[in-house]
Amino acid sequence: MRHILSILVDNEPGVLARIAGLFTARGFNIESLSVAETEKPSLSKITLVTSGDDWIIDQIVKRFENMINVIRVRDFSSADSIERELLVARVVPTKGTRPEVLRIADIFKSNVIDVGPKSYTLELTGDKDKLEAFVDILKPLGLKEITRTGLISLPREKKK
Amino acid sequence: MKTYLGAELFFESLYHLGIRTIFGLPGGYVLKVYDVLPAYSKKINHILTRHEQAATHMADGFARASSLPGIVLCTSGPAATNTVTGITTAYMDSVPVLIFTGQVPVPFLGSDAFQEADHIGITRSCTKHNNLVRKTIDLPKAIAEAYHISTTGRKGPVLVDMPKDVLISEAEFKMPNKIRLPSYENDPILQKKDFKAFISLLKSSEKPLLVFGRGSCDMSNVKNIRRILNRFKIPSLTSLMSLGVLGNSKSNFGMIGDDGSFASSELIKNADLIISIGCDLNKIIPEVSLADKKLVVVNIDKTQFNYFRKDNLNIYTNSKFFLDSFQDAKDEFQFKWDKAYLSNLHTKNSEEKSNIIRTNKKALIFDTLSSLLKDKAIVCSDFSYEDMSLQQFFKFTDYRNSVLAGGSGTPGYGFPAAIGASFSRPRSKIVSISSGVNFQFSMQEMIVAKEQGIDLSIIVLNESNKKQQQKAPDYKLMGESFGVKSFKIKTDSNIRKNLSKYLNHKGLRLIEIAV
Repeated sequence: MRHILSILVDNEPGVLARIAGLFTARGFNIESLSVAETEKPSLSKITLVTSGDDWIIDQIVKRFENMINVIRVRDFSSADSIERELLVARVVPTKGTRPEVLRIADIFKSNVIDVGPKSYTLELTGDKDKLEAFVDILKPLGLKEITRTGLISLPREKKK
Repeated sequence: MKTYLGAELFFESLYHLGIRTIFGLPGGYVLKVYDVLPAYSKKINHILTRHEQAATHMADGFARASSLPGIVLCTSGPAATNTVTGITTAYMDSVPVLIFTGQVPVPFLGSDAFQEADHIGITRSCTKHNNLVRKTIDLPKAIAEAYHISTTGRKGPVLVDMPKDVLISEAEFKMPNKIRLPSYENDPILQKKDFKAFISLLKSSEKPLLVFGRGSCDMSNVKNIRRILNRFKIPSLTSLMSLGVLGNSKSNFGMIGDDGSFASSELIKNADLIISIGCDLNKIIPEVSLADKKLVVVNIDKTQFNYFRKDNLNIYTNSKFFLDSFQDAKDEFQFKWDKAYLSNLHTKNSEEKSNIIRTNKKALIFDTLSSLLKDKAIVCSDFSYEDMSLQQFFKFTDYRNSVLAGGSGTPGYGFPAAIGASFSRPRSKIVSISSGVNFQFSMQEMIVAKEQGIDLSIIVLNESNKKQQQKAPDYKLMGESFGVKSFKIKTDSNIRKNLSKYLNHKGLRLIEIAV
């Protein structure tokens, strides 16, 4: 099953290696990873997507909690949460498809952040499905390269 | 304000924390520490070892035989990598050991400098925590935190990496009054609802069984365990790592595991509720499956929960809180263990033991030693997996007397651990017992034992025979070349007499027994 783990850690060298090391030890792949400082500069938040048996993920989460540098771990997979990811794509349109690329960008509410004689660079935020749909549509139109930030997530406010 | 060199801060901090004995070996990047050592020689006893792995085992043995943490000091690179086996051994068995390594100066970190190794990276997966100190002023705090992390919660080894420039610069001695580690929960208290759930499970149980692990081994628990066994008469087992924690109790039915006692698998088969207290069930492979048993898991380490199934009752607490509430429980229980059945199990246990002794010469040697030493001696041993169960041929009534590399099964552990134990329990009788092959892993430490004038019996079981290709050295000659009084005996009808004679000698001696 797919799990989204949000891990609050000390903003110190080596902490990410500790977290990643546990995945290596279990032979698990990290599907996506994003790390940045939080509102408190002494803390960082790691958002990590992985999949595997629930009981192994449960073990990994408990091991995270045992680490001195880990403040808190949350597993969003079962909770109602908001997921976002940023994608930057470079498209070199084939002959006659320049307007089409812009139309697609418009439909997806994607911004053109750079333009050159041959290419467009587009940005898009959204959840995983939206980003993948965008990439699929751009592929035949001359998609050259994409970069994704990795998923970030927060739980929704609890309904009363 | 008075300032100190980093190297002086190292000793000041250790002394402040109550540490009086360290095991170590000098080298390039820690030379400054050894420069200032003479000034601290009255405060701190430094034991010069001949190998860093042995130093770590000594610190480990020192810690297991007492309630104090063991300390290792060594330099960087090859020295630090040598400690890894010892650290892993301590990590597997939750032994509090602090390892201090020298390191290249901070500006040269990661440049593949002379004798550089990434100690933090290498030991990340075998320490409870590790830390690189970047500023001299932070050194006392780092040492205090390492001490705190190592000796509380589920204990374990902690490594502190000290770059050379940190050790040779000066700073004030600032020890934090209180350790602040916001996410570190070292003493989780017992939740009332958990204990209630446990009591109601126990009330509905007809045949409960207690399993004590390393986590229950604390001097403050001994009285409570005795009282629980006396009051409730629940049959109990120990793990390999907690032999002796049940003392002389009649409820002690031996060791759990596929190498465990006869009674252990019988009891597990018949029990309807198994209560594991501070026991690492992942490392134990019981002969009888636990799959259809109701389990109560009391542990300070959350990773021990839900391992087998989800419907266990998991109690996240320090075993001392649990045992304290348990011995004080107001409830009365009606268990249906048959008295005759239980006493029959004791008979079966000893019958099985004597059966093994008849066929296994090593078991015979262990049994003879046990009857000679009574339950007073500290027994340090290292055996390969198949022989690990031999430790149960000793009668232990104090868990601190059983010193054995359990989880790692490290060859060459027993002898240096015995040297370590002799520094934390200098008045106790100490025996190191190893197979010849394992003894060769750390026999160079005989010179350390000789230098320090330790009272210790080194027993080496020479298992080589003429049919085997493997050649064994003459351990008696080997011992003599180190200046150790050495004897050679055979496993025959005189073994008891011979052993008793040589064990009563004073000072350091090596007894080679041809198996």
